[in-house]
Amino acid sequence: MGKLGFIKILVIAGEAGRVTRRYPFKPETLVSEDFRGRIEFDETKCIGCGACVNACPPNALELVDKGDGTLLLKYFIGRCIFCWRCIDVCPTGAITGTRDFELATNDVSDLYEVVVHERAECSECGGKYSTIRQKEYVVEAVPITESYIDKCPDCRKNKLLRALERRRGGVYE
Amino acid sequence: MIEHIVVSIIVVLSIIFPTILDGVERKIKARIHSRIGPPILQSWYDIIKLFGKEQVMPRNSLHAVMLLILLTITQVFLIVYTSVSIIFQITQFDIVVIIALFIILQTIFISIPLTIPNTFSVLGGSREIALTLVNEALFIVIMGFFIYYTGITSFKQLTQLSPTVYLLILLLALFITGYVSSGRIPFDIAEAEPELASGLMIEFSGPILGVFLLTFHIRRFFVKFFPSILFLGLFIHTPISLIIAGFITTIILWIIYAVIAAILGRSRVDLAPITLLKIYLVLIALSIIGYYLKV
Amino acid sequence: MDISPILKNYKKIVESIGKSSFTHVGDTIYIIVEPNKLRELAEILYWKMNCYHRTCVGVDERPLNGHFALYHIFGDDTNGLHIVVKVYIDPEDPVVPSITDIVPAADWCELEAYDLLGIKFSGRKLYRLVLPPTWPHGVYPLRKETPYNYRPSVKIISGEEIGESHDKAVVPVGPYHPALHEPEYFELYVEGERVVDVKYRGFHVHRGIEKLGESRTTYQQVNFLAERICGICGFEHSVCYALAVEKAAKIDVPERAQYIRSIVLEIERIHSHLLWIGVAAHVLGYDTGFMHIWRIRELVMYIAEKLTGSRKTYGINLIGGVRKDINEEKKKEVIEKLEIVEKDLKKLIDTMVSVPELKKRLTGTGILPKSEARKLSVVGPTARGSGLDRDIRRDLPYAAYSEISFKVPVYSEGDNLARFLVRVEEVFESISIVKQLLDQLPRGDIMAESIEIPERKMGVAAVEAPRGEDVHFIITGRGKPYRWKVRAPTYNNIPALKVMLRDQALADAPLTIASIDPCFSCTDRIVVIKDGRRYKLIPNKGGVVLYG
Repeated sequence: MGKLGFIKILVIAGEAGRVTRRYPFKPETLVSEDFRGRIEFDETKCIGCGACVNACPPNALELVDKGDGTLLLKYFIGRCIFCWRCIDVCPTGAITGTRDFELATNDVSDLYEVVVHERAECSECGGKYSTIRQKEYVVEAVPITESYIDKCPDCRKNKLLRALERRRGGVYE
Repeated sequence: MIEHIVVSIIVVLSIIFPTILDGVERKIKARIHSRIGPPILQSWYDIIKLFGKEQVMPRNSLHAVMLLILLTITQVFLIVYTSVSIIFQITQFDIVVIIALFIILQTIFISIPLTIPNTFSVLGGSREIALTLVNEALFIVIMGFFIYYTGITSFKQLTQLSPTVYLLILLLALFITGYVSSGRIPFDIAEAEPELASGLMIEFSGPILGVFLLTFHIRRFFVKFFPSILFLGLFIHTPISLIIAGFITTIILWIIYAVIAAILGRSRVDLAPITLLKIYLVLIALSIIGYYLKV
Repeated sequence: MDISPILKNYKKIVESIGKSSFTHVGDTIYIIVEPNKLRELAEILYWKMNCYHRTCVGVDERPLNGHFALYHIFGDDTNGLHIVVKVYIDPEDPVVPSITDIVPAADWCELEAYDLLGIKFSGRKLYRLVLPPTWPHGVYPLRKETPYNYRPSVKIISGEEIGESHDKAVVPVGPYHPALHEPEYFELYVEGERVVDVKYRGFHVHRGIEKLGESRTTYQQVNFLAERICGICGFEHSVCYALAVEKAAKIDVPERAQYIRSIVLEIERIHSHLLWIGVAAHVLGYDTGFMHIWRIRELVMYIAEKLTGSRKTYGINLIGGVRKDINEEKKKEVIEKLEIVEKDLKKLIDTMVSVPELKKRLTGTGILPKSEARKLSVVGPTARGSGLDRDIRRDLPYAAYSEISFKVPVYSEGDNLARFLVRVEEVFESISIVKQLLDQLPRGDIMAESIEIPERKMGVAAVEAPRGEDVHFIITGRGKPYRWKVRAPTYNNIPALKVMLRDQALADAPLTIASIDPCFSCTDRIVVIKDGRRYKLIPNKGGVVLYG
C-alpha cells in the first residue's frame, strides 16, 4: 500500500462496526459490577456514631445536631465522590454501595438523604449526648458499660473527678 | 411542459437537498468513525433551531451581515440560473455567465470575514484568500481551456461533444477545484476548528449562522453539480436526462467526497496552495499535450 | 552505614561550601546552607553535577522554629537521588537570593513562593504569577495565620489588562479555546501566519488544594484530594503523595499493594497517552483517527473500572496500601483485553502515520532543542522527545518498577513527531509492563498493618506520570500534613512552549501547545476563588477587540 496506507482506516472502521450506543434512549447497563456509585443507608442498622463522617474526604456526610433532641446524619450526593470510604469504616454495615450513577435531578432535595437519630438523655443532668441507638450498640458489644452509659460523657467525667476528690478529701467545683 | 416541471423540481430540490446531503455526509462520517451518528435530517434540525434563536449582530459588522445576505441571494440565483439554463438556453454564453457569477460569489465570500473585526475571522479570511488565489483562479483557467478546446459557451451546445482524453483530464482538474471549493478537510483551513475556532464564521450566531450554513450547503452542491453537468454532457445529449443524471451524480460525488474528507487530515496554509498548484499545472499540461496529440 | 562514592562526592561538595549540614536518608540527601551560599551550591549541583531542578518549596516554619524556610529540590537522576537544599529565612525580612539566572527552571516556583508566602527573592524581577490580580496585597495564603477558608472581600469591576501594546497582531489562544480544553491563556503575537512571540497567563484555576491538604483534611483524606489534582493522571498524584508520606513515616507497604499500584499507574498511563494521541489527531483535523483511538481507549477505561471500581479517579489508594485486590478472574480478563488493545492500536497507528497531512505537520514543527530542554529541566515525553534520557520509573524506581524490565524510548529530534512517537512507544511498553506485573503478582496483604505517622518528618517522592514526573514534598504534622507541596509535570514544561512556539506557523501552534500534553489544572492548584466572581477583560490596545 505504501503511500495510500491511510485508506486502511476504512477497513478498520468496517471491522469495528458501530460502537456507540443509543443511550439514554435504549435502557442498558453501562457499568460493570465493580462500579462504585451512590451509597445507601440502612436506617435500621445506622447508630449515628459518625465514623463515616470522619472518614468522608469531601464532607458529603455530615452530622447535624438539630438542638431538639435529634441528630441528623446528612448525605449530600452533590458532594459525594463515590469513594466508599464510609462503607469501609461503618461498624454496623449500615451503608451499602449501589451502581447508581444517573443522579442528575432538577430538585435539589433529591440529592439529600437524611437519617434521623434520637439523642440519648443524660440521667443526671438531662443533657443530650450521643444517640439512643449508639448506646444500645455499645451495651450490646460491651455489656459492662450498662452501669454508667446512662450518663453523658461530661457527667461521667465529673463523677470520676468527684470520686477522686472525695478519696483525697478535696472539693471539686 | 414536462421540462418546466422537471426544472422547477430540480430548482426546489437543489435548495432543500444540499442540507439533507450534509446530513448524509455526517452519517457517513459517523460510520467511518464507528459511531451511530445523528439522524440524516439533523442538519435541517440544526438550521431550523438556529432560526429560532435570538438575533445577535456581530459587533461592528453590519457590512458582514449585508454581504452575507448578498451572498445568499447570489448563491440561490446561481443555482437557479444553472438549472434553468441547462434545459432552456438563456443566452449564448450561459457557461460564461455562470463562471462570472461564481467569481462574484467567491469575492463576496472571502470579503465577509475581512469585514469583521475579530482576529480569528480575519485570519480565516486571509487563509481563504490564499486558497482562492490558487483554486478559483485555476478554476477560471481550466474553464478557459475548456471553452478554448471545445468552443462551447452554453449547455445547449454540449450535445456536439464527444469524450476525449484531454477533456477528461481537464474535467478531473475541475472536479478537484470543486472539492477544494466545498471547504472540506484537508482544505478547510479557513475554518480550522481547533486553531481558529471556526475562523471565518466565528462571529455568526443564531439566524445569521443559519443563513450562512444554508448558503454554504448550496455552495457545496453547486461546486459538484456544475462539473458533473459538463462531464455528463459528453455522454448524455438530452437536457432532461442530463439534468436528472447531473443531480444523481452530484449525490454520488457528495458521498465520495465525504469519504475522502473523513480519511484525511487538515493541511496548512503554506502547504495547501502549493500542493494544489502543482496538481493543477500538471493536469493542465497533460491536457494541453493531449489536445495537440488529439487524444 | 556504607557511604557510596557518589554520596562521598556530594558530602565533599557540601563541606567545601562551608557552614552547611549534610544528612542522608534513603534516596534523599538533605543539605542546609546559609542563604549567601545558595547560589554557589545551586550552580555546582545544576551544572557541574548535572542535576535537574525539580521544584522549590516555601514553608512557613515559624510555629516550629521561628523561620521561614525555602527548600530547593534537585534530582540526580543518573544516581537515583533527591537532593533537598534548605535555607532558613529571617521571618521579619524574608529575603533570599534568587537562583533563576543559574537555574532557569526555578523561575515559576520562586514566584509561587513569593505569591503564597511572601518570600522575596533578590536579584530578579518579582511579579504575581499564581494569585489573581485582585487578591489583596499582604495576604499570603500559605502562611499559617491565614485560615484556609479566608475569602477576600473584593469587588471586581475590571481585571488586569492582559498584554501590552505591541506592534504585532495578537492571536489570543484561550482562556476559552476549542483546542485547549482548560482555561489558560496564550497570547500569540503573529506576523502573517508566523508566531514571533508568546505570552502565557495561567493559574486561572487555583483551587487551594495545598492549603486544604494541610488544614482541612486528614492524612488518609488527602489521598482522595490529591487524586483530584488532575482529571487524567490523578492516581499518579495520589500514589506520589502516599509514597512521600510513607517515606517520611517509614511505613512498610506490602509488596502486593505496590504491584497493584504499579498496574493501575500503567493503566492510567495507557489511557492518558491514548487520549493525547486522539486529541493530537483532532487538532490536526483527523477526526477519524481521534474517534478510533478513543474507541480503543474505551477498553482501557473498562479495565480501569474493573480493577478499581471507577473509570477515573480510582480512589483505591491509601497511605500504607490499596483498597481493592485483583483476583484471578480479573487478571485473565485484563490480559485478554490488553491483547486486543495492543493489536488494534498497532494497526491504527500504522494507518495514522501514513496520513500525509499528519506526517507533514508533525515533522519538524515545535522543535525544542536539547540544550533548552536541559536548561528548563523539562520532564516526561517532552524531555524524552528532545534527547534527555530521564524516566523516574527507571532512575528512582518506586512501587514495583524495580521488579520488571522495560524500555525508555528516547528521540533526539525534539519536534512534535518525536513526542508523538515517544508516547506511542510508551503505550506499548506500558501494556507489556502491566502484563509482566500481573504475571508476577505476589501473594499477601494489600494494606500495611499499622500506620503511624510521626510529626515533623520530611519526605520527597517522585512518580513518572504520563506527562512527566510528579513531585510531592511533605512535612508531616499532627493528624495531617504540615506542608504539602505538589509539583505537576506541566509546571516544568509550559516554559518550554515559548521556545517551541517561536517562529512556527500559527496553524501548528495548537498542536505544539498540545504536544507537551498540558494539564493546566494540575499546574494551577492553590487559592480559593470566590464563586460568582467575574472578570471583565479590557479590550486590547492593539485595536482588536478580543472579548465583547
